[in-house]
Formats: sequence, C-alpha cells, structure tokens
Amino acid sequence: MIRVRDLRFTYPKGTSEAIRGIDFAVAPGEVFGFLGPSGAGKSTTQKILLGSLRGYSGSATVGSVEASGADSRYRAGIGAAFEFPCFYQKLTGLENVRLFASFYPGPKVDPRPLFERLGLADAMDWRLAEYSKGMRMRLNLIRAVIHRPRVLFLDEPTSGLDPANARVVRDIVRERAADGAAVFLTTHDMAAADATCDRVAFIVDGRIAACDEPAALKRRYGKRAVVVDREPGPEVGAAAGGSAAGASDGASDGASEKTAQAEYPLDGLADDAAFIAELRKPGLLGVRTLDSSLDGIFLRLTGKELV
Amino acid sequence: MNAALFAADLRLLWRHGFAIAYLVVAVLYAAALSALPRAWADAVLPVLAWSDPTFFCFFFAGASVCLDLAQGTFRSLFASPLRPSAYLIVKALDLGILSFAMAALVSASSRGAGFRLWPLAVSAVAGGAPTALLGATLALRLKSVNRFMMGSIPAFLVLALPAVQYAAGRYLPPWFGLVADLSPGDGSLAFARAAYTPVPAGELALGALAAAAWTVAIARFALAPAVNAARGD
Repeated sequence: MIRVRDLRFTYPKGTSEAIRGIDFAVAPGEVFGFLGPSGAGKSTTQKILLGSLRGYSGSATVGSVEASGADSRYRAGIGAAFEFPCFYQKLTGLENVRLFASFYPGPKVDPRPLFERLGLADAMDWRLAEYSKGMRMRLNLIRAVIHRPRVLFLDEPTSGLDPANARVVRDIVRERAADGAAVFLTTHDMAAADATCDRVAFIVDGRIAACDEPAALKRRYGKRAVVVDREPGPEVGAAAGGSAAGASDGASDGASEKTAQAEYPLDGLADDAAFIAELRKPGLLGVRTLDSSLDGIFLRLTGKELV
Repeated sequence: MNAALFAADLRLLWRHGFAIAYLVVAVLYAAALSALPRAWADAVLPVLAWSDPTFFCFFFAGASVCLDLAQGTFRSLFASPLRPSAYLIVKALDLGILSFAMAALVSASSRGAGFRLWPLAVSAVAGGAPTALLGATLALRLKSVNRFMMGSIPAFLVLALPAVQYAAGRYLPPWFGLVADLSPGDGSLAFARAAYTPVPAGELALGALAAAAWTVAIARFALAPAVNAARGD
C-alpha cells in the first residue's frame, strides 16, 4: 500500500539532505511505526507521502500512485492525524468532524459512536475552544478515520492521553488495520509503538537504522537472560550470591537494598540446575526476562536518545 | 460546490463576527447617506456599494485565511481531497454574498426601490472575486493578522484608485485615470454605477472582462504559488 524506495529530500534552503535514501513498505492491514527523535526526518517523510512536499528523488507511492502526483483522488484514500490537532475553534467538535468528512467522497462512519467510545459524547456539541489537549487528540483520531481511509497517517496519536484513552486509541488503530488499512504511525513513544505496531523502523539523521517487528528487534538486540528477584536476607542473600555465581555470566545485576537479583542465561534454562535451585529457595518475588526495551535498542543502534 | 463547506464558512463568518461587522458598517453607511443632501448621497452611493465587495472581501478573505493559519487548519485541509481553489472560492462567494446584501441594504435605505439589483450582484462578484483572492494570497504570504494589516496597505491603495478617479478624476492628470483603470477593482465600479444610473454596455463588458482577467491572473500567478508554499510549511 505504501512503498518508499531510495527516498531522498533536501529542503530548498537546506544545506544537507533531510532524508538520505530510505526504503520501506507498509502492507494493507499493517501498523508500521516510524520512530525517531525530533528532526530525524519523520515529518518530512510523512509530508512527502501526503503529497505536501515535492521535489524529492527516489520513489514514494501510496496505492501505486507517486506522491509527487498527489491529487484529490490520491488524498481521498488517506486519513491523517497530525501531532498538533488543529480545528476550527468556533465550530463544535461534531461540526468540525462533519465539515472535514464532507471533503471526502463516499460513505462515512457515523461519528457519534466514536465520540462515545473516546469519551467525548458529552463534548460533541462543545466548541473546540472548550476542548482540552487530550480531547483534541481524540477528536483528531475521529477526523482521521471517519471516511474509512485505506491509508492512515498518525503522528503521536496517544500524546497527552491518559492510559485508558490511550488504550482506546490503540484499539481503534488496530481495528482499522484489521479492516485492511495500512497505518503509518509516527511517534517518540516506544511503549505505544511496541503495543501497537506490527513492525517499526528507527529513523535517525534521515536514515533508517533498523526495521523489523518489535519482538524480533528485542530478540536480536536484547540480552537473552532471565533475572530472579527475591527478598533480601542473610540466608537469602547468601543463596542469591551463590546462584549468581552459578550463572554462566557470573553476574548478579546488583541487588538493590530491598531486592536480591540473580541472572541466568536463557539458553539451556530448563536444564540449569542453579536456576531451578534458585526457584526453590524462600523469598521468591518474581522471574523476568531481560528483553531490551525499544528505547534501549534505539539508543544502542543510533547513539541517540528519543527526545 | 461543497454545501457543507459553504454552510460552515458562513457559520464561521457569523461566529467570528465578520457578518456583524458587515451589518454595523451597513448601518453606518445608511446613517451617513441619510445625513447627506440627495445629490451628494446619489453621488456617493456607487462608491459605497463598490467598496463593500472590493474592500471587505479583500480584508475579510485575508483575515479569514489568517485565522485558518493561526488555528493550523490548513494542514488538515491540504491533506484532504478538497482543492485549495474550491476552499477559497467558497470563502470569496460567502463574502461576496454578504457584500451584496450589505450593498443592497444600503441602497434600499437611501433610494428605496430606485436601484437595480443585478448590477449590484455583478459588482459583488466582479469586485469580490479578484480582491478576495488577492487578500488570501497576501495572508498566505504574510502569515499573521498583524503582518497582513501592515503588508496589505499598498494593495489597499491600489484597490482604492478607481474610487479616487471616480471622485476627483476631472482634477487629476490623464495618466492617473489610466492607472486607475488597471486596478483589480475597477471593473466592479462600473457595475456599481450601473445599479443607479445608465452605463454604456461596452464599459460594462470591458469591466467584466477586466475583473475576470484579474481573477484568473491572481489565482494563477499569485495564489497558486502561495498555496504551494503554504502546503510545504
């Protein structure tokens, strides 16, 4: 649905390329996370795909149509929710949604159930000036999906939302993908990307540093080990120290004041006698894997924090 | 024509106070005309009727675009299938309708039924279309209400030339009349005059042609590049 090949772009007054030869594709039904720090090229790529920026080299197509030739028909199949949700302040939420929906051909979704689902039923007839940032973000999503687009561009869709509403937004995004839409999700929020995306690409300085499923990235770049957490105590502490020494890398990752920890390699774990003995000792608090977070992988691959 | 956009734009003109501004100015115009001697009122009326579409469409189209820019709505508009030209035509049309209503109201207050509506309607289109597009272009380039108010002064002076020629042409050198004829608002003034007194058909045809030429030229060579620049912002 979305295909980008060797895409390069330099702003007219820019001295260097903002996009430096990136390649990716987003299939129908897929949620693709485009992750990177500010200035990495996320918005530029999105603007190119929306047909707002021309003069690029390489190829950027949506539904096999080149973005540089974007016209009304091209845009009719796209829904976009930008990071800063902008609406007509003097119109109500419902008036805004209906106005923007009127620009798109074909049948529309009834907006009222979406307003209810996103907790905006009572605010449907409020003017936008009375909406909080979180309410605008939710309204932004309604505007983007109201015409059932085949391609959905979402920029930081859960920014400023409480966990409950963020979950509803993620659910709606997943439902749109299940309905066949290709979703291009731009975000800093690795946790949201991890929870929502089928695949993610890390972009930094106009280049894609890695692109794969979140779980695959974690497997590839994460530490293949488990950590046993237990209550500290003279007997337990000694036990923890013993088991840590028994771990293949010989390292406990440093017990805190309240918790003793011992680490064991994931490979051969079922046959690791020290690990099994550790589980039998008193004071067990839990066992967890040492998957890297997407933040950690991003930092490791790019040397940059996601800010 | 997008009926929802047309209705929403009228609603916005009302809620932003543009329609009230039209009404207040119409009442002020009517009051001023009622205080003038009959001959003076008849002489001033065409200019007042002409100024409604020419100046109001210019300033209010610019202000309306500035509001869009301030609210950030253009980004979503540009991402939609709506053509920017359709959006701006609807704005010009709504402002033109208000201008026409205002000119008709002022005319009726001064002359009762002694004027013709169709030339006023054509005057609203001929004056409103090029000036609204010009106002929108300047607003897209200048990007804020304050800059638009300052930056639009030269354009305002050019738009006002036909009124100066109408009022004081006989005292001005011939070249001034030629320059005034080239103003985008000049065609509209011929139709505004025709609402109250006979005007030669040739002059009206020339006025309509000039207004159409100005509208196309502004749309093609000024507005379209401004829209493309705003799209990439």
